[in-house]
Amino acid sequence: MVTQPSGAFLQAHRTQSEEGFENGISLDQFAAEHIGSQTRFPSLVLAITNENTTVSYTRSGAPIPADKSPRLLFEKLFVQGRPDEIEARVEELRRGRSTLDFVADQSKRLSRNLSNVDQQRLAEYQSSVRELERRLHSAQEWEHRPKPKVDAKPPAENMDPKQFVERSGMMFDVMKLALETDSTRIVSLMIDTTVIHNITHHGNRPEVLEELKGHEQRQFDALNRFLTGLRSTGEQGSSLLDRTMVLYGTCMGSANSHSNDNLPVMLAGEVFSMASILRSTLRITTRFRICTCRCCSEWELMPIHSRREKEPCVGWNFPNHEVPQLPSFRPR
Amino acid sequence: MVCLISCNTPSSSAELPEAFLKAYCYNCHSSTQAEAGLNLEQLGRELDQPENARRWAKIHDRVASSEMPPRDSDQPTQAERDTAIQSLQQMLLAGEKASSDHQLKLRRLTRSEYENTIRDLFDMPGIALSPNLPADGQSQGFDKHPEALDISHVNIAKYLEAADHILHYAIATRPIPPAIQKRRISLVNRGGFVAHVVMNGDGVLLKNKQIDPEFPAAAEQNHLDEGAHERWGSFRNGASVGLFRHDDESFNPYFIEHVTIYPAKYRIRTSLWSFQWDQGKVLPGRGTEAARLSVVQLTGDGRGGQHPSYVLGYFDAPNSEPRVHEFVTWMNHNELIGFNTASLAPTANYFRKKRAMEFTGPGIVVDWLDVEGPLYETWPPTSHRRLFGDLPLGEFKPEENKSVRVPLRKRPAQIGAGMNRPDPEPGVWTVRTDAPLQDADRLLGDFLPKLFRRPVSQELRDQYVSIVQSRLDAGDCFEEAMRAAYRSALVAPDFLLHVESNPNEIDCYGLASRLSYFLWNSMPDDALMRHAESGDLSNVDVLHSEVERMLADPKASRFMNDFVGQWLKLNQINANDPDKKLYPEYSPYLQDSMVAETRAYFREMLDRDLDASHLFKSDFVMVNQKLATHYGIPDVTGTKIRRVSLPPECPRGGLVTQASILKITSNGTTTSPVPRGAFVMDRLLGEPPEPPPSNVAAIEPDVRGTTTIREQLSKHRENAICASCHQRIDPPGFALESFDVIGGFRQRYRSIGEGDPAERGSIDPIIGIGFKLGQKVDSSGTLGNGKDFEGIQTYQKMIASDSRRLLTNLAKQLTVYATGRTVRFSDRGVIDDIVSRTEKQGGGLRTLLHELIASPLFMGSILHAGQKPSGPDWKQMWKSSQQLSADSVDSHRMLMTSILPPIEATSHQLLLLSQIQPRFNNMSSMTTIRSMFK
Repeated sequence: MVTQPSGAFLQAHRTQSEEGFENGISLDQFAAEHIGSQTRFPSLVLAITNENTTVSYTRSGAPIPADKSPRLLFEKLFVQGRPDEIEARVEELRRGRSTLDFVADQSKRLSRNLSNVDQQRLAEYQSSVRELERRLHSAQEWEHRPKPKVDAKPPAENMDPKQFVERSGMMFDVMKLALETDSTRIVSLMIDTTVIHNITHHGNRPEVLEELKGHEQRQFDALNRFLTGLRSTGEQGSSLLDRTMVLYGTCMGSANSHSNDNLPVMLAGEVFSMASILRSTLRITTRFRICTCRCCSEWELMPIHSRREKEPCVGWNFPNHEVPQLPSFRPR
Repeated sequence: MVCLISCNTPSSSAELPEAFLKAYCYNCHSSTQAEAGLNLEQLGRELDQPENARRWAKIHDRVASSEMPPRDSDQPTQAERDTAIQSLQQMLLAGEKASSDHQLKLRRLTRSEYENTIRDLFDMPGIALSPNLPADGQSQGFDKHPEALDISHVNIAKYLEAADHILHYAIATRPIPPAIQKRRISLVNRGGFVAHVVMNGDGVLLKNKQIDPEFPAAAEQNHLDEGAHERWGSFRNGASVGLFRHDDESFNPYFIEHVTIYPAKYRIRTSLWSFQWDQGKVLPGRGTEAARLSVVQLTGDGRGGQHPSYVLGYFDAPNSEPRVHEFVTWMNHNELIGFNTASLAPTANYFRKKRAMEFTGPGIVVDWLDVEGPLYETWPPTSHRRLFGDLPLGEFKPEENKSVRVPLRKRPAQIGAGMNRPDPEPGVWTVRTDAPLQDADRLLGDFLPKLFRRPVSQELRDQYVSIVQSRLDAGDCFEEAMRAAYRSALVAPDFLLHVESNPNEIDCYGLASRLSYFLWNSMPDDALMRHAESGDLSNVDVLHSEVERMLADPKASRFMNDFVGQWLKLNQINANDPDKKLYPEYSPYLQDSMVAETRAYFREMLDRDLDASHLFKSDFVMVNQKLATHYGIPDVTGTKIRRVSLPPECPRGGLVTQASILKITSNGTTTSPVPRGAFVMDRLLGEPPEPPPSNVAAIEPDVRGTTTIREQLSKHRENAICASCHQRIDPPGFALESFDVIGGFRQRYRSIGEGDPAERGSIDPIIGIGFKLGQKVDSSGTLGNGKDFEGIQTYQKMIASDSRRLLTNLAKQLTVYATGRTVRFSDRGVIDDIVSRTEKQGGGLRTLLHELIASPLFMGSILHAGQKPSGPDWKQMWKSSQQLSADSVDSHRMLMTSILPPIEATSHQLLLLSQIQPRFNNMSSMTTIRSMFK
């Protein structure tokens, strides 16, 4: 799953500054709760940014720190540590678990004198500790199994904010490898476009709109390469894209007026099962652009921005009534 | 005891005044017609639901203030009104009582509380922890509310990492401190940015205030390659560097030859001045310029620019006369000092044919920068002694400890181009003891109560000692075994949660913590803990004197900065960069000065006990040269923020006209009265407007100069349904239309399309002006009560006169921040009482703080029934402390408020005034001051 800028995009929330706003779990983590335990990494939380931003949130609404370097991600996924490094890592995980054991008991002691509601807060602490312990345990198990081997070379280090498109491309490449090797089945990616923030407030100036369109076109070219790459990778008789659901979108309907109505959102891949989930997820008014590899022969990816309010392009339409109803995704 | 609530006690038989509602309200607010989105037939009657209660309280207020029913419809008799109000009150109180059992009170530390606590406990005043902790939420406008502070497995994982990080740096593993290295660094250096741009004419090398004879200024002829200059030592011959270029996306001047290895305090000295460059000549400059020093955290392999950084301070670079600035600051691993010519306009000469020889303009000179450190007062450092007392360090010899695992030691890895080197590793050194379990018991007995902010039972202590025991049995050495216990303590709920027991039965330790996390944003110190231990903290006189002591402590600026940062959303100053074409004069220096102004202004209100009308009006401002120029105030020189009387007719004063507020309420391109009005209503008046209905489209900003925002908005106000809210929201915003996106005063809008040529005004001559002057600004309006104002100044006067309303809002905001709880309907009596008592004593902010702390809202049941909240005894302390600070150095206050710490003190004692925050984008930076106090 790929998304662009953050806000509360994957949490079915309109905005984070809304009064009474309570953050909840993001769609990717919701999925990870169900199928995350089947792979080495329950999910990958990624971001192209030099700040601490993310689109993924836990059930209690805590932001999950993202991996920002394609190179380090590559190492984490595919580079086998030396035996002594693995041993040290296992030892560290073991110690972490024993610390967690101890503090979980402490919360039981503390909760004796508290009101019912406050006891629930301590229960939340305790279950978080248990959850982490479970994750450390699983990580410890995986430490002993060899990592998958890939032919690709690790990507170069690049932290230049101006080159966010190039950096996205590098991240896309590693993501594709992660999916291909079944290292994980869930990926979220946030692309920070702060460097072009100024021109998103274009004030309707044609020359600024033109400049913005240029940047967006480049972003879509990178996305196109990713989708095309997924499609040309085979997996059990069908393409990887056929077995993947890709959601791409942004948290602003119009950055010029800072409105988050009518969000441009695009679905690609195996979308039929996903579209209805999304409809309940993104309660915010959303304009879907849906592309399936079944209905169009050629990608025609255009900047979402320049396509606003226009008729859907060939291969991009997905009438609402065709979407089968599935159990809905409910954040807390 | 103060009266808890001025209304009657709720009776169980209370009912909503249905007949009254039907008779006077349903006409407009029912299923047939739901004006302002209010349908009273459908509105939930279960008042133990907070959302229902909130809406009914609003209805109560509108009816009580006679705003509703509106003047032009049927009016109830006064008796009918009173009865209706009373039954509403009873219902609301009963509802709250029923729901209070479900109110969450237990909360964890915020990440800034966490970081400050560790900094204070371990005396590591600059260790950076919060950037690696998950961000906190927000509720009621503040991160201190329990609802905003959930705990997830991500938090726990990060606390585990942080605990290891803290212990790694706190524990000494060598017999003697790392050697102090002192290094004089030139801004121009091998392989750095600066050498490159100097060779292309964006700077010059100077000696004796003239061009360095060995290195002519870059001209038409290309310089030799950098390598040749390096071999000749052109950059190492002690020349000063004069820079013309402001930092930008591809130019970040760093002093790259020092990259910190050992996190500790370092002494920094630098010599700065400024000049005018005129195509090869060094001439006297236009006045004092400002240079910025920052701390840069190298990331990745440490190469290139654009690494995250935060501002250390802005420093005067006087005209032609070098000035030496000296201070001590904490630096973390892989951090270095960055530089910027903050007051210079962006310019670059590399594209000019004759490069520097074709350029005329100001330059800032760095003669040199000295870095000296790491500096420790003692060895092992205080952080180590907190954990291991005076136990000796000894060398660990594996052959003598065959059954013991050798403790792991990581060699510090340095990235970047530092010339400083790590000390040779001394072998494995560790803490020695002959009686490990006794020592563990003693050390944990000292440490745990400090960390947990309350006494620790022997039973609990034994549990921690048993961790040590089991680690020793498993073959760890004493230090490693203790680490395991300390790591557990640093992740334990006793540390991470504010355990006050039940806040209604808060004990003295709970009160001490509440007080210190309010006024210091950190743990109580020893003196405060002694008061908690003796129990006399519950004595209101002691409490007042502690409040004075704490406010006089430099740590109090953490409260001020954190509170205004959240209350006034100063933390969001980075949310957007002003459009470069419309606002070319905008700079990070201006932005940092804006934040510093608002912080300094709040401090001034607190220090001088100024009343709440100062939120809207004052006869002075807190500015430095940059802001004074921005505001059109003459004769202010230098980077330091100081109090300046307002010239007559200057449309400033109060918080509302401060550039920070005006920027935060704009989108970087245009202003709109709606968000500005909503900000004033919500934050300053305490009357948050209802959110906009979801079916209304936002206004599309337009800078083509053909239409004004007022014209665009008029549609709202013509529609009766919109108008019901907008006639309250818009007026403050209309008044503020006199100020642009960056807080500059304007009579006409700036436009990119149509308009007349714009005058330069105070904009730097180097900056090209690409905008025009468009339509005229209309800043008149009509308040909800029907009174007209013709512009910002009349508006300020009108609102400032209603100081009780402003004071009440301040009391509410401070209550949420201080207690982490929602101010509810039943708290109104106490708030009223606090406000009345404050007003009787002059209505000042400091008085308000004292009254709030001595109220049942803050003290809970500790406030004994027989105890009178005391009189103005604290004012004696306050006055004498004011005298003292005025006598010693005026800079004492300046140091804390100004973004510039021109520090001349000699002690190594250092204090971080606010948490370290990374830069949020390439254009601007958070203001964070590290400075030093005696």
